[in-house]
Amino acid sequence: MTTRPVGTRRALVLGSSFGILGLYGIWAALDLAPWPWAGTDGHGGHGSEGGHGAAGGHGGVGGGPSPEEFRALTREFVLRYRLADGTVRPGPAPGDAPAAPDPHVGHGAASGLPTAAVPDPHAGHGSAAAPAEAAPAGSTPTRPVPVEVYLAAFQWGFEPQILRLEVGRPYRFRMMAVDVAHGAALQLGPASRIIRLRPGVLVEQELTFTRPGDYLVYCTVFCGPGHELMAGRLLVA
Amino acid sequence: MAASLPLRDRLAALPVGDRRLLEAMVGLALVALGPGLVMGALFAMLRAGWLEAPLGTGYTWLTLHGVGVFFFWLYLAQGALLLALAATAEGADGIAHRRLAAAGLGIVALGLGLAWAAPLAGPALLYDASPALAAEDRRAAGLAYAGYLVQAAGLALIAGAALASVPRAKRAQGGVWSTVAFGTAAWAGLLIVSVVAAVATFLPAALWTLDMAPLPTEHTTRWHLLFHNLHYLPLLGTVLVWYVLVAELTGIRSALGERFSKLVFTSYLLLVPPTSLYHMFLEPGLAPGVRLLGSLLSLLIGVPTVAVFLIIVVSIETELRARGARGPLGWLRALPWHEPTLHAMAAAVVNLALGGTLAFVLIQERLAPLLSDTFTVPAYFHFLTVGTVSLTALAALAHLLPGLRGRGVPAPRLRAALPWLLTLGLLMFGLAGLAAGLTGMPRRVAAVAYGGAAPAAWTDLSAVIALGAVVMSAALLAYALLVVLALLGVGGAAARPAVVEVAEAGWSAAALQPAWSGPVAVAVLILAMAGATWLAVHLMAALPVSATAAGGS
Repeated sequence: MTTRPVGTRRALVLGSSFGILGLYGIWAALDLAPWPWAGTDGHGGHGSEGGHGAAGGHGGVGGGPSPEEFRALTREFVLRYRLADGTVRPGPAPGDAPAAPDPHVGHGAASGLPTAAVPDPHAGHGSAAAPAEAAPAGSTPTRPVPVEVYLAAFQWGFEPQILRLEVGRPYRFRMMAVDVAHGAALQLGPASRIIRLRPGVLVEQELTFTRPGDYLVYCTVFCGPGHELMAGRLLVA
Repeated sequence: MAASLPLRDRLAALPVGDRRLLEAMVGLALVALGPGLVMGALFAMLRAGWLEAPLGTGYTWLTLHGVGVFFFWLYLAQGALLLALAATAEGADGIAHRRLAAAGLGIVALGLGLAWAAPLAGPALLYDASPALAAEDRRAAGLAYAGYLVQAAGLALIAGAALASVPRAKRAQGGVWSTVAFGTAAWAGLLIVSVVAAVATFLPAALWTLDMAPLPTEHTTRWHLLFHNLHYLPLLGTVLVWYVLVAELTGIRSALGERFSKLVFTSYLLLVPPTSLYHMFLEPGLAPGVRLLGSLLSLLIGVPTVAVFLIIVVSIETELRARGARGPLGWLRALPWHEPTLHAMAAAVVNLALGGTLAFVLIQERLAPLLSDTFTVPAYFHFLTVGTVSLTALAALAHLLPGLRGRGVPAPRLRAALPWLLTLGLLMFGLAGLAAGLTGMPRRVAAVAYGGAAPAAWTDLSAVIALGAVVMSAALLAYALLVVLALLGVGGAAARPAVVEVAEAGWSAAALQPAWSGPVAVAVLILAMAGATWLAVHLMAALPVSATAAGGS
């Protein structure tokens, strides 16, 4: 009786083939996925970068403003914060109170980035200092109230087209494609953050910039012959 | 592993009508491929700034490219190879219901005409033809949907004829499926899955253009399912063709037995269709649990392809070592490299490894906000659809032609070199595309300067991408031209394949040779995937922004 040569045994071939599933362990080690025994909380509680990032989960399509209502809200936002040069500089609304203590403070973002409320020891720009809404010394650090920013995507542009933002201040971006599907990607130097917008669906993301820069906003979903004309800018200082 | 007579001889023994039908199918596949390749290269040159065109023209070119290459070339090439294998499986006696298959071919040709006319009749919609973009002019969209639906009907007839052919082979074998007949049936089944996905995607949209249904809001989701099938399901056909051609070129049987091969082919049916969730990671409103499940399921895509790779590599290595090959790579040198088809298969394996490595970064749901909708996507899938599937299909068609026409494909040395030239072009296209995609350069865009606000590297990298596109398109076109010449009867005498003596099933003491190259290659591949993932995570961490979801509706 003969035995199969080493390397041609079925168990080895099957084991090697399913070995590709071992990548999951590498993902978990890189904090991209939860360990099976950790449950889902371990994955989501650290200010995750992408897993919960694009949108959703807070009600369905009908719970937010309609495209027409969103256009009106955006126009109101632009009129309120427009500067003489035509750019838009949103700020905190009068009477905004500090938010409740942030349960995530101390964890940092899943990507290893600081949140706005935690000074970034690696930034080197003094950029991550929390804005003035921080709580008094000696008390529990609080998270500043995010400033609301409206961004409407349409064929073929963004409104507002140029936003002036501050380093270290959290912004709650409220975005909607008001005609057909669009993207609202942010080019941030070494890489981009891609955001997909479906028509009439409100997408909210809280963003805190940790470095100043002139960042491109562009569409990443084909939206017709003027697709490449869709561009805006974020001037972060 | 394969029937006793060489495939070319079995093709030559087919009825004349069967052979003419297969030739016609090869010819129509090349009609779809040629212009499709040219349009893709033109679009790449436009993006690089080498050409100028009115606003929107580039998207017409990109639509013609996608329709021609991804829909019609890939399906027609699969149809021709599927029918050829079904008609020549051990015990088969030709194409069952040849008229059905011929009608299918005619219907697919009509579909090609309709789908190609669409972007010329109205605004370009790209090959997913989103109805929302056609709200003001439904003519072009209507033509596109009609073309796709007609194609699906034709493809169903072709797959049906193949499915009807293999049971005859089984009966002739005493009720036992040969591995090739079994794999062919599974492949035909997957084509039927594609047909169903196409109908589910485009029928509601077609009814909308006729005012018989509301605007299909689920078109994008259905398109993702179809697109997933479109570019992963041909992998089963590809590995089945490798399986057949290895036996044809080397005479080596599977070292793991026919039942094991059938199990692996079946696993494609079970594992690939449910793994499409990762295309939707960026969709607003997708629940976190679904994202995680999508990531987990996506890993399964690689399992059957790695298994087939291992079956083929360990079988070849073991047998050639038993025949005297020495040294770590001596078995590779012992392969019949004078056969041009072998060069195409080897290049296809290299491209599969490259494309697979990049694909496994993209299926990680938390990297989706970094990479989805960027040029990383075409960078990886061209390695699979062009460098693996299309190259294998073209080489296989060239290999089959002497059996159909009685004459060989000309210029065997050129045919041996072209796959490597294609791979060189793909490397330029893919690596430059990967670099551009990692910095966020979008796919499907005709210009990347954004008035000077985009990174300057996007323009430079677009030039390398265009050069790569030109090189790979030229290589594939040259290969296709050689096949056309053979179809037209221009070529040398039919050359007999240099088949080595067929190994006996089972294992003798002399064949007890270790075969570690396959498992080692897989381990290296997994490490490369892990490294690429780490690199992407590192990039994500370097972004000057922190982000959390704030909800939405």
